[in-house]
Amino acid sequence: MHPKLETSSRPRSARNILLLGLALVFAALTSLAGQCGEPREAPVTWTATPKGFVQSPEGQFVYRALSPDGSVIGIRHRLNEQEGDLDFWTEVFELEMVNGKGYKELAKSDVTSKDGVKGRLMTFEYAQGDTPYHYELALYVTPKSLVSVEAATELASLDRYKVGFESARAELNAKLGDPKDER
Amino acid sequence: MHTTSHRAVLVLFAVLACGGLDTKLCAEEPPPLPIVGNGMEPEVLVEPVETLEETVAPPVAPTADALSATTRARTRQATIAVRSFTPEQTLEAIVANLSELGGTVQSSNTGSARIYVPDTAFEEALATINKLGEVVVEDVSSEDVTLERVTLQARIQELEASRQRVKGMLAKSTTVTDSLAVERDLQQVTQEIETNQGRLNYLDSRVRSAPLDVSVSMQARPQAETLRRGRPFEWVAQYGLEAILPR
Repeated sequence: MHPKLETSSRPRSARNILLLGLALVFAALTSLAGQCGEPREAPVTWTATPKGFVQSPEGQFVYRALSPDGSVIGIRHRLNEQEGDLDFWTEVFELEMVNGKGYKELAKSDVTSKDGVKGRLMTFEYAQGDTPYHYELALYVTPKSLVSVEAATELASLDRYKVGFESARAELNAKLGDPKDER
Repeated sequence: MHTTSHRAVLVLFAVLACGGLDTKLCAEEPPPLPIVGNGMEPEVLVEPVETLEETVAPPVAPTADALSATTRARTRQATIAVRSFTPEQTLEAIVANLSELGGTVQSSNTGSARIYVPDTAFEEALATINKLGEVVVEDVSSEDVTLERVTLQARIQELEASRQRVKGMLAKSTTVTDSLAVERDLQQVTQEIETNQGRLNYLDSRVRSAPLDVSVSMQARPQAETLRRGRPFEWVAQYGLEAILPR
């Protein structure tokens, strides 16, 4: 007589749990593997916020950052509907700042954004009340967009923020507002 | 003994007197002076002491030849008013830049300075100031001082000659009264030489360096009516400090 083979329900249930666990682990590994094969694209931002500034969004700017004492960096983007080139827009803004607002232009030089768009930096001086201010306006023109990087501070604080202003321009992604296939 | 020493003094006087004019023309010994008495008494100078008016020659106007042979000399100066949104910094920048051109600050107050620049750098200094601020007043003046310099030089030469003659008279004078009178004349001539020489030195220094009176004032914000009207792109007006600074 053969001994009766007794089987209980407990070992079967443990096996099921084990199988379920293995399935979950497999699914997790598969998911991870899928993600590793398709690297995630880092989000492109207009610029990197310079040291000593924090972002402080404001309506008309696509990017704006403030320092503790109110020095500011702002980026604006407009569609270049008129398809003006860099020289054209530079003259438009110079006329506005000098003849329209009475600013004093101190210097003008060529600059280039991080993504290779040529631009023009204009430096102005102006006084609000009795306080002299330093104002920088850099224009970058692509066929589709007109991007401006403005920076302003009291003249007395210029030495402190000069590097931050330069950094904001150097890190600018000027093509960000253009259609993706044209960047 | 007395006679010998007095003759020596007289010879010395003659040499001195001639030296002031032209030593080459004084090879001959001057005529012997008359001696009063028997020769044993102290000799008394009988030649009358000249007065200063007789000694000092009147000013001589330089001839046309003298002027043409002289390099033209001129002095220049400028008064410049500059406006800036940053008056202190602008003035500092002007002083620093003119110093690099060889300028020196003579005086400096809040918002203004008198800076002497080498005459050779005069134009460059003006151009530099024009770059550093908005020049609202530029008043440049120049004066030809050639005639005055030549006149002064001639006058000084004449006075030097007179001084030598007076010195000669001082040596000849034997009485205290005469000596005092000649001393006074000598002092007067010397003083006049110094005055003329001082003026000549001043002119020369002014020819070499020119004073720039620079004042920098706060630039007033332009009045609305002076600003440009009509914008082809209205949205450009939204750019600037007013829009970007935190309220």
